[in-house]
Amino acid sequence: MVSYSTNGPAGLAASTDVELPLFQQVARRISDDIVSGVLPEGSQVPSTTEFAVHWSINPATALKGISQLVDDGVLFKQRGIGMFVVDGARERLLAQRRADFAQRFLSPLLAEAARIGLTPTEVAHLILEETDNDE
Amino acid sequence: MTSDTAAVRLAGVDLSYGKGTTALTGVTVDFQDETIVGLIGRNGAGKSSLMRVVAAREPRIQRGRVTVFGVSVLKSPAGTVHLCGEKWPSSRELRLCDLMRHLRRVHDRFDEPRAVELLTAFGITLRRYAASLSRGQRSAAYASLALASRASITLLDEPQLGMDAPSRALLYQAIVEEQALLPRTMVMSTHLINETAGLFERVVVLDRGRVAADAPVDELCASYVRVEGQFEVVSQLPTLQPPERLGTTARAIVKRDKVPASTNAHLSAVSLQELSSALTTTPGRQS
Repeated sequence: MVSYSTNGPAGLAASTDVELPLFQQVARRISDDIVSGVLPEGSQVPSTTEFAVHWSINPATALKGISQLVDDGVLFKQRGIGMFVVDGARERLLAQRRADFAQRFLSPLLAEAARIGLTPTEVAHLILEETDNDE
Repeated sequence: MTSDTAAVRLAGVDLSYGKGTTALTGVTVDFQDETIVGLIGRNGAGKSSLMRVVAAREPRIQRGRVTVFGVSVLKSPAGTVHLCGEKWPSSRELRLCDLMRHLRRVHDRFDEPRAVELLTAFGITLRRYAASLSRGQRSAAYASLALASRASITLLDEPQLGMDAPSRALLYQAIVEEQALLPRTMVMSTHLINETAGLFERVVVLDRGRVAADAPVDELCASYVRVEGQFEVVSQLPTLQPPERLGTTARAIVKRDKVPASTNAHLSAVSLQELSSALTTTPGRQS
């Protein structure tokens, strides 16, 4: 019997992240929202409970993901008020994303290219062609 | 796994119903305090029996010890454990408000406004006779009352039986809200694992009366992998079940550390639902 490969709610994690442990999917999702600007720096993020209820996941799991972001200096807690996005978090996340880019996106890309007999040079040409067309 | 924070502890439990029907064999498992645990397994695996044992509804276990907060289940104060299962009273004369009155007496943290709030969300009124509800409505009603009981140990035996998808979504949200508001030890058995896996911190898999797995969900799933490739390649591996074939290719689930790096096959992650099927066998079948 075939079933879903993710143990998380549909839509929580990006397709590259569905195989991550659930709490990491939570951290990624919030980070994605910060990078995309949905959660601006200095703004308040939903509470652990709100997040958990919205996605129907265990509050402890949501807390674990959010705590990871606090440890990473992406979120900070204002006692009695809630969780906020740290100033400068977006830049830091972008730097992290750039560092992860090769592993997250290029590895699968090059693996597929290898499967179908495209050399890295040919892939590079395709990338330039593609971006030329867009401009 | 044993720990000082175990709210419920089963040690070496054997349970038979006589006439050769063995429900549980050598069951040793802890349910941690303030944790939601998924209890999964095939029909007849022993999930309901295990819950009944914890709820002190099976006084005649043949072997082993069962304790709740360190005290034998048979001596535990009434109201510590709430079991929401199939065998609920459904006599013609019982209204939901009667049930609620009973629960209020038994569980000192019972929250009536919350019970009403949940029942209303499911479109059910307290005046209804339990027996007149549809199967899905009855499940929703009992689950609502179970959550409102706010017992320290809350056992939900397939609480979503017969419920439509929107109602199930509501139920899962209510479970999360309750756990966030007032953490308790919850054990929930279910067959709808794909939609409930996110609720569980840990999962216990029962197979023909024995514990087949007991681990955090992420760890358990991460330690297995789906292998797809040529039948000759896949069948060399110690697969949990005989590989499923399609033409010359085959698919199976294997423990990750048993797949050599050199294996020429496509590897992918396994869902908890698939894994629980692969780890178990239907009771009564020749495996």
